[in-house]
Amino acid sequence: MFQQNEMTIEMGPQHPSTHGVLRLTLRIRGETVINVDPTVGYLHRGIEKIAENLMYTQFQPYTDRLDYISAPANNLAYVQTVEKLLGVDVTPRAKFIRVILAELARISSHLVWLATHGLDLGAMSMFLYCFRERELIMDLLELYCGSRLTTTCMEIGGVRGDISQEFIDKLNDFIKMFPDKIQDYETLLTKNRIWLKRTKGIGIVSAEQAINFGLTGPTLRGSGVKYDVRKAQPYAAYDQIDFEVPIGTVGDVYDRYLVRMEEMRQSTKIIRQALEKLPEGSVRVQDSRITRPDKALLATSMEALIQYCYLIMEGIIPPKGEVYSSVEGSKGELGFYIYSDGTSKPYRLKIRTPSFYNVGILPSMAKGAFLADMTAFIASIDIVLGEIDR
Amino acid sequence: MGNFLEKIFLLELFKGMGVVFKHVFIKPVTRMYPFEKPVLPNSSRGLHTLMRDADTGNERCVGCSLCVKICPSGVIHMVTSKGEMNQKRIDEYEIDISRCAFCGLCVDICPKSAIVMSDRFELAVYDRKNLSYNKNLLLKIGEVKQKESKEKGKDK
Ligand code: SF4
Ligand code: SF4
Repeated sequence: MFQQNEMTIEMGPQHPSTHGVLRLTLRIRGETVINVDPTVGYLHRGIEKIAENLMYTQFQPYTDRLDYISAPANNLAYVQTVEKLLGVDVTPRAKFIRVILAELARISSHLVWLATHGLDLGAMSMFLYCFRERELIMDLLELYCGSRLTTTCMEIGGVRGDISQEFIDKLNDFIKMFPDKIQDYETLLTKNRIWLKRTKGIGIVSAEQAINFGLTGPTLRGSGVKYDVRKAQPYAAYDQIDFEVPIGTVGDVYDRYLVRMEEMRQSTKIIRQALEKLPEGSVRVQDSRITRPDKALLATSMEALIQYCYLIMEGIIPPKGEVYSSVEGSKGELGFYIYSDGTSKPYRLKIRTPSFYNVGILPSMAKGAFLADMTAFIASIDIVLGEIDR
Repeated sequence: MGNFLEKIFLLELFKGMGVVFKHVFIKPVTRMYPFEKPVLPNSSRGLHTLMRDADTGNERCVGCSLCVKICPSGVIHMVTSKGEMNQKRIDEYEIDISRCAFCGLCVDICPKSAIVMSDRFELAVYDRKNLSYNKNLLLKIGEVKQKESKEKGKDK
């Protein structure tokens, strides 16, 4: 069966550069990879099944644990789907705050990607610099909602709270200084000949292949396909914001790197615009099916008290039907599909997580490549295992 | 020509080194954590506390058990009984922090603002049993928090 000097080795699940508990079974001949077989499921928690036993509000904290490095985007995808099911349109201010939070999540996720991508290929200082900037985003998220990683920062019908002046000031400082930092990263890597040697011309994915494999996000755009959910089906306030969708040309590791770097710049631009255009008003819709009455009313109004308790004890009850809605997460199209049977719990909830589809390209990417390039491939499709295994 | 020179003299590498060298002069951002405690914002979601009414000193919690219902991990355990004058009395109130997701939903929905989150985050203990906080403990932490916030108010 085996030819001489062919070898099977296991990479992972406990390998520092598989970015989680991904197990790859590699067949190699010398230094050349003949076949890769990714095995997923080591982080399976049955989140979709858990959803069937929880009320719509209660499921929200679980969405944080999908792509745990960009939690606000997951929250957004989920609440947006439930809102679509209910036919609710959130207030303009809530929409803009959602955009800000989702873009912060994208930047922080891309920073983690850049840090680990650099570290995997030997650029140690990238790791230190990126995490320094990421810390600022974490602080911002903590200031907004109290938690750094598992934010649960949105709720069905709006966002968890209004943003404070302190938050706006700090965010302004951040977007003012961040473009310089991106410039620093680019000075370190973009033209660096060692970096070019390790990334250029390897792991090429053609546009056709990318579409066939169902890739989304920067992994798809690196191959030159201009598809971005934010443009294709604008959600939240993205239709009122002007930004570019960067695409690559060749589809190699280097192109995907460039796309993500440019995306960080665009995200900064989006946040700046969102802050400028931030409308006044409430951050929660007034809809008796989902909005709890104000706590101050409870002492005086019996109706409010009854509705308050009813909404918590019975939960949000959407009509029967099925719905799919997606957002452009940092890794690609993140979608939720909900089948509702008219009770307070979803009958079935399916999550379309981008990393799961993106990891599928790995075998065809790695065939015939060098073993040492495997880490570059894994980093360049930017997977997070919490999302793959869910 | 420029390209050629760049290649010969490793310009891009030196530029990169310049960025790294710049950091010699920048103040480090490292926080010496165990010695230097971070100041967390007020909104921060740490260990739960149960609050007392500021004027009367009674417990604010009325035992409505909404927090028990909303908790996605089901970690709040509560037993109530009928006290004097037909009022609800809370006999047991326990939060098992080891399974808590710190989502803050219980805090959001509490109609009396009885359960709130403090900024305590160093929750490691040697024994798993100690991760379960009962009512008295939670009330005590609440008192500390109330005192602290009063002092903070005075400072300002
Ligand atoms: S929701 Fe508040 S008042 Fe009701 S039982 Fe929980 S802590 Fe007590
Ligand atoms: S923070 Fe969330 S998980 Fe923890 S007790 Fe409250 S509702 Fe339950």
